[in-house]
Amino acid sequence: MSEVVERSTAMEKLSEPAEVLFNSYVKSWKDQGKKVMGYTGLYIPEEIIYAAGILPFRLRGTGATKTTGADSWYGPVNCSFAKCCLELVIDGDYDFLDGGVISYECDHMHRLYDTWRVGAPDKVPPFFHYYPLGHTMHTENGLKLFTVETLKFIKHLEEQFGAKITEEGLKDAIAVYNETRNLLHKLYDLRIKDEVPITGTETLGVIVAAVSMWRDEYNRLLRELIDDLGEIEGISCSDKPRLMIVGSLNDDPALVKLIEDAGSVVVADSWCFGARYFWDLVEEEGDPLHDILTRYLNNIPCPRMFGHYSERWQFLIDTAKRANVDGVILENIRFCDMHGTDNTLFENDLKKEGIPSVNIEREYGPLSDAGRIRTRVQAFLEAIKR
Amino acid sequence: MIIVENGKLVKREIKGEGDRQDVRAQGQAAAVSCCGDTCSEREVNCIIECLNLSTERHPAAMDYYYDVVGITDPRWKKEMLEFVKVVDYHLYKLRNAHKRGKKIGLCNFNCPTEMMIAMDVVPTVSEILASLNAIIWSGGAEHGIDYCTEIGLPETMCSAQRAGLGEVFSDRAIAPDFVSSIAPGNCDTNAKIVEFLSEYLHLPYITIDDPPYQDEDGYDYIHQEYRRLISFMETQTGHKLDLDRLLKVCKESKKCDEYIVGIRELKRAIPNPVPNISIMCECGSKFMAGGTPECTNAIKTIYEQAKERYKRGEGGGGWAEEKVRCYFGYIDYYLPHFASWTELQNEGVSCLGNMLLCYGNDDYTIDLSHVDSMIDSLADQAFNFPMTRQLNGPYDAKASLMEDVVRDCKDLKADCIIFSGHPACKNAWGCVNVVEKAVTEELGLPWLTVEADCFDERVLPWSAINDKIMEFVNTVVL
Repeated sequence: MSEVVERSTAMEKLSEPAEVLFNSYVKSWKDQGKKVMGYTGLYIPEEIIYAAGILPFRLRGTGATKTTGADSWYGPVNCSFAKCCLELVIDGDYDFLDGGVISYECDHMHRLYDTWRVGAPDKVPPFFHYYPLGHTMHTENGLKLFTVETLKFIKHLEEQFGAKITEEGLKDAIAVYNETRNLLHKLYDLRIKDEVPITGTETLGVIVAAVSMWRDEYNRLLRELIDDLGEIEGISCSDKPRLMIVGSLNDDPALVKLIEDAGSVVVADSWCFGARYFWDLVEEEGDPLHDILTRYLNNIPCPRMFGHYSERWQFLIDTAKRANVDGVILENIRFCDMHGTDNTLFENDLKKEGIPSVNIEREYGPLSDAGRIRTRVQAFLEAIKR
Repeated sequence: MIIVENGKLVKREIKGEGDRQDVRAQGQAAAVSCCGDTCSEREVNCIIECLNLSTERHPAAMDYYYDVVGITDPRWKKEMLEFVKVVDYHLYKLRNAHKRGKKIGLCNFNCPTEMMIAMDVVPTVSEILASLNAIIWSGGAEHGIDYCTEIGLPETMCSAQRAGLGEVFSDRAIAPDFVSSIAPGNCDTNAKIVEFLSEYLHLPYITIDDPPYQDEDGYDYIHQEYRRLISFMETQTGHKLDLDRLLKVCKESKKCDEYIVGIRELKRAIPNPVPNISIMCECGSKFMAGGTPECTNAIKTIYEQAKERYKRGEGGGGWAEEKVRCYFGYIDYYLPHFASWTELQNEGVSCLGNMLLCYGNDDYTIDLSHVDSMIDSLADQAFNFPMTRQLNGPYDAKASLMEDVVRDCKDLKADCIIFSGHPACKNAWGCVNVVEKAVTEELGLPWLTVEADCFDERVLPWSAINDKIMEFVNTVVL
């Protein structure tokens, strides 16, 4: 246990959701008779779900120790994250959801909409929505499609839950979610200090909590945590390489812990459970729906947004330089060709910048190949230290 | 060198230019001797050019021999020779594009070439290069696939792109001047490697986003996306879309579509008068050169030959009796020397079609009435092209893979369905079990899923794939 957890109650509380899917905050929310909506990916505007008075809960595979049920519906070349999510659905771990919304995040995850309905028909929540997404940023046509599909989603949501999503409600939601984003920026600023007050492992737990509990409570705890961190002596990085991690989705702090336990400290990331989740703010001046959608569409792009490699690279290199990293770990879940391909380009471009990197393919889940990853990370750290 | 005298073949000369050239010359000799005297000089040269491809590599002599045997099989020689001419035309255009001041544009098989041709751009299609490499010589796709791995691309990416673009990355095939992709929304790996190509070779890039639903919003979206493509090509070529040329291409494409519909109608007959190998000739021509007279001629020949067989009550396999009518729920196997088509044909398995034989021409035709209607029609066809149409939304959405498989199996009276599970296709693999359940429940047909790479025999050799298929046919279907 780090000093942060020992000295910050907020950190302890924020660590729980990453460990347990049906965490105490969600339990308490449900006990009040309130609704929970499972969703996938970075492109579904949480503000809309929040404005309906529903808890947006990002779907994860936490706790899945097998994929035998999911393997019956997914093929052998589908990613282990999608399979773990489906496995938990089949096993009833997501029975607490009152709704589900699946986006075309990638080829694997959008099929969760199909495999869930056919593979676990008795587990389909009363509200189940397919949310198509375009693949282009900064185009009028792309924003138009996003708007059309979002209006369909809102209509469905209102009909199913009897909620009314108003302009005022959206403005309130924007303010709440922007507060999160601002707070997380502060947290990330602390991470890049010479004496790092919070580890990468702990940071990931904080981010996972953001998408697994009611936002007002989360913001309160996050404010507390940031206050606590100001009083904590940081970890000296003089003998530990400072790393950045980039790549496929990871919601498992144990993976970061493995990397840090090998003798490093993770000070930055480009992860969708990380910087790419909160980086850009929503404008607060204009039409709230338009502002929300513009932000979600044009945020630091996931590799699913084709033709925007340069923006991803710019974000990576800016972050790496700002955080003064000694090396970058590029990782992708096996069969995630989108991150795998970007990583190839990143590797070449990092080399040109003189920043060491290692490219690791892995499985999602309970560190099934921990030994292999540890060995590669250790070798990488040795190379950096030399 | 090939010498033709009085319209008859043939003589060749070996000039001792080294082993590689010698092998090539031997191969050419094999090609020529197999052609007999029923091929014209042009046809023989087309075959040789086609087998040489646009790369620096050349097949071994035995590859030439087996290819020529496949091409000149009297049962489908006419169709094959017309297809070879399309390949020759395609390669000629590519080789001479820059000399003639034309741009080369990369598009994928799932986007029609018509608009590029209307823009006077020479289209190059990565999957075509991959298929030709894979079919023409043993291990022909391996170099491109392995080269992609060498430069760091994940080995889980699609071999259909790796085999073709690997040749471009390694400078063995002609690189395009710009790249376009309509794969976003139906195939991540396809879209991603095209983006990678643009970054790796610093090529201008445009993506046409594939909307998820075939509704009014979806069509409106694709119409706008298609106009972005036109605008992009106008920038790349430095000239505006020529309306007369567009009309000419649309008319040609429309003419071709009538033959495609005709071929489909003929396939309903029992026995199916269309040979298995025509699938390759048809979709290969359409993907390479849709909108050109060369493509139309090739497809017209398939239609006319099949019609003649139909009139005679013959199946496409000639002496091989049709025992089973099989529908491929995905794509074919593009493996050396046309084996997947010819061997199944010889064993009495008639291949009715697959998802590639869908060009968006079933429900409507190109509206020639004015410019916007032509552009919208081509956009609609793009939206309904294989993969673009079938894998862009939920499995049970309108115009999905499931809908097409059910429709085709009913329409063409299939006895069974084979899903040639291709390792790279995460989107199809993500729904195949769901689709299988729905399709088999509705149709009651036996279904076989094969795990093999459609372009790379190292994953599973054709002999093993064939064994699986025939075991399924003999024990489950028959």
